[in-house]
Amino acid sequence: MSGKTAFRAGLKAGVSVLGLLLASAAGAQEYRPSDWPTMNLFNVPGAIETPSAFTKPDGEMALTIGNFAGMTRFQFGAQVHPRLYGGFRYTEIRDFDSAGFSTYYDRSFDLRFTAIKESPFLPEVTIGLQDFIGTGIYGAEYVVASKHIGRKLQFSGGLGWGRLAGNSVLSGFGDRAPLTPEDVGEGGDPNLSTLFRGEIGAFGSVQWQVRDNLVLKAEYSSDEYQLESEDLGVFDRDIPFNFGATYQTKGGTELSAYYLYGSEVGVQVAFSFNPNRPGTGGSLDSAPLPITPRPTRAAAPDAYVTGWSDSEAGRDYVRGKLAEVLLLDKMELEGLRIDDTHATAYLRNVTYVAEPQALGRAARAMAAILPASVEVFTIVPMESGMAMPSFTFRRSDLERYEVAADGSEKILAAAQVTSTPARLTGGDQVDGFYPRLNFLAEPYMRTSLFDPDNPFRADVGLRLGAGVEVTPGLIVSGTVIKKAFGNLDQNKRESNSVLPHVRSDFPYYDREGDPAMETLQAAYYARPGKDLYSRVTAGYLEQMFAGVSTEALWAPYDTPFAFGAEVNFVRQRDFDGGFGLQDYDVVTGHGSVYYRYEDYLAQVDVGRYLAGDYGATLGLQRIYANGWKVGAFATFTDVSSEDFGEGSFDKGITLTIPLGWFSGTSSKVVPQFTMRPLQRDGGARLNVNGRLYGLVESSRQDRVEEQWGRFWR
Amino acid sequence: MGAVLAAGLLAGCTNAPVDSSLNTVILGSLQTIGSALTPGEERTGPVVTRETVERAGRPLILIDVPVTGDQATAIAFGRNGNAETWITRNGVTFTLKGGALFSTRGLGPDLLSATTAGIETALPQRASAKYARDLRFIGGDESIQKFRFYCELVNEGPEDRVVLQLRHSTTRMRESCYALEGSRSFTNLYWVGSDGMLWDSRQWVSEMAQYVTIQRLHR
Repeated sequence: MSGKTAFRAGLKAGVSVLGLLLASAAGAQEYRPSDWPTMNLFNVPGAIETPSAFTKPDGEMALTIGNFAGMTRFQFGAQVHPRLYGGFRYTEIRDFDSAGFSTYYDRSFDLRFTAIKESPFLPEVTIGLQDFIGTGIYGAEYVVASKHIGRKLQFSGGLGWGRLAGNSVLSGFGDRAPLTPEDVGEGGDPNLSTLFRGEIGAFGSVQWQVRDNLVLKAEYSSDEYQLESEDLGVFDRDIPFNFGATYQTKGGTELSAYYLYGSEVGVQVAFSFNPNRPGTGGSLDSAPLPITPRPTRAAAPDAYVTGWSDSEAGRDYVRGKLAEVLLLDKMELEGLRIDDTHATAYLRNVTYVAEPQALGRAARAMAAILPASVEVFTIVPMESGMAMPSFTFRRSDLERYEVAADGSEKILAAAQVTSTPARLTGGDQVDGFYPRLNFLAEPYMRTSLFDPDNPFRADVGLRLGAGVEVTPGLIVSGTVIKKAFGNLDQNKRESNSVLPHVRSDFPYYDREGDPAMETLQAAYYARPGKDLYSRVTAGYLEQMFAGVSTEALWAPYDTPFAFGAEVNFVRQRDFDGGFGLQDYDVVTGHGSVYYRYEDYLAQVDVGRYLAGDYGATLGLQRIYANGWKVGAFATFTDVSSEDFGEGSFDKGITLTIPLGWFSGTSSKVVPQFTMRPLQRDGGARLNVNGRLYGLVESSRQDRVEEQWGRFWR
Repeated sequence: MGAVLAAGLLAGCTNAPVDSSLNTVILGSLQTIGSALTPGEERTGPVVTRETVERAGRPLILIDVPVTGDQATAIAFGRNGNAETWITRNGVTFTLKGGALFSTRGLGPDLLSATTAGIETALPQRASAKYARDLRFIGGDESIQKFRFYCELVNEGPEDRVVLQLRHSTTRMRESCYALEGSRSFTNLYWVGSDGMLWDSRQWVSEMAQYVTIQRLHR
């Protein structure tokens, strides 16, 4: 059993041995990587260089590194929908003497849509865009059909445009100039005007699954490597045929070796993993408290006496006890409003990514502590001092459904949700909870990727911080960073931007800001009205800007959509990370629409950006119920692509990784990584901390209900 | 080693009662790596002796997870109706209804819940029965996955059963369950005393955890 090592520690210590890749070995029940299509050198399902039409299972992610002829491709891709696949590629090409580079680095994006799924009579058909935003050195489009013959053989044939039109068997519509070394320089425009234009080539491949873990491949490639082979002499392409073999491990990792174009040897490793396939096979959090039902009123009338809640002392005693028990479950009680029959707990969940898990454990703690006369429990999750939608349960339902097979479904159906609960008032607060002082000391890492002079730069150091929560929602905080080691200061690049340098002066900030004050700010969060959330933040907000940021969000518990508005007035900070400010200031802000549909979250922000440009950002994320997210965004503003400079417009991909997923133990450390191929000044937004949607998201109906299985966990 | 030290120093630097910072994650990972590099000692016999069980003199069960080789004792932790919850020292619980496994928590690949309506009365009476059981699991995508099994419980006759050096006269009950979808199946075995006490059993938990054995060491 492949998952054996992964959950081995379950009984022993509650920790588990995992790495990202090890994790992929375990879990899901129908897990047969050998049935999946293998990845080609471009990190899409395919043979060697040419694509096939097949798809990976929904949600699967792939990391592929391939090399031949001095060309190395580092690639990430995700099957974000059963029919849609997106990928990012970073390529290093040695001896590519174009535009003054000896070693050339290139970034490109792919998108594939599978129009027809394979059936007994029909092949699978996929339309693909390769390198459709960017320099376009790998620019190609294709329509490919693939079919299994028996279980062991699969054939693919397709038509290709752009790079894949090398053998030009057909002449298509329109013109498409061949890519010359001189073109390789700007890049970044979506190459929409040339998509599916020009000559058309034909390619094909055959794959033979010799054994469960071995695939032999042969293909005819219509990519003639005109640029590399004839113009630049990167390698010699002699023939259009490629041959190879792929070995698949049980965990789905692929190791491939190829003989390419009659002259070159290539190698490739492809890792496959899926957030929906955790290596631990489930949560390793220690078990929750069991519920012991109250004796019946007839059997023990004394247990049901009332009046204990009349005195301050009685309420304080219960409040203190409940806080203690919640702490055992790594949660905190901010306040408790209680009378003889109804208790409302204001809960700070600092541990569980899944809010239902926090609700269930808090309900169990209340059942263990509160006197028998309290029949109604309300739990109000607190987020930055704001009361999130609350859940009200009957205690007798909790007692009954804890040990019912359909208890999860039943308790959800019986729960009452209040979208805007009453706020926590002074008398109900746990004594001494506010004001509250927090200190922070943690490592940090800051990276700068894809600079042609050095594609990977990073600083690692220490972040120190302190914060005071004065009252619920009012938080004064500051952080400083001190670099320990790193090479970000080696970036001597001068910004050539014609826009205000709102981001492109980042090398100065990296060089001069050590140590630096990252933030020093006061934030006030509140719920100003029904379904409304608000934030005001003032001070030194981020590395490059200081000022005032205000935001409001309208987000009822049970709607798939939410609307937000943000207005900021900010001034650019000095490079040295001190208190000084530069002359540039700007009013920037956005109106935002958030829309959740099934496993996707779409976000549209329309407004004015830091450089004073107007436009909109479109974002789409695939949401996994366990907290993983993978997404992409693009910003289009009134800045022309010439003024924007290299890259033409701002875009990137985002990856959100709940760290608790790896160990199986709940943790609310859920970092989000944003990867831009290039950081320029157009379409740039303020990086203020604690934007509202991110705080509210886990308390919204879609998210709560998809995680509800954790209520009794 | 430097990293371990640094993280150790950092971990002390928050005054919140619950440390939910990045450092706990880093520390946890380092511990995990550490424990992976230094495998525990091979266990040669049971984790308890009859003598210590008798000295403790309280209800106790012994759990074995053959897939991982783990073994632990568990004490009574809670009772809700006929559902008895037992907990191991490191916080894993097993909830049984009339001896039949209702749920597990903290194993990782846990059983969220199982209907026991058909078995929880038949088992103590050592009566044959036919019934359906719904087993629920939390999938990797957090969804509740429900599988319906069709089961038959058969009395296989008397058998003496030794549990940690103590011999019990029992009746062996075999429960065979299969699901129509996915051709899943499992076979549980129960050794029930004449007073209905379940002394020994082998019960299926989940696809990944497979079977556990649950032995009653002390009434």
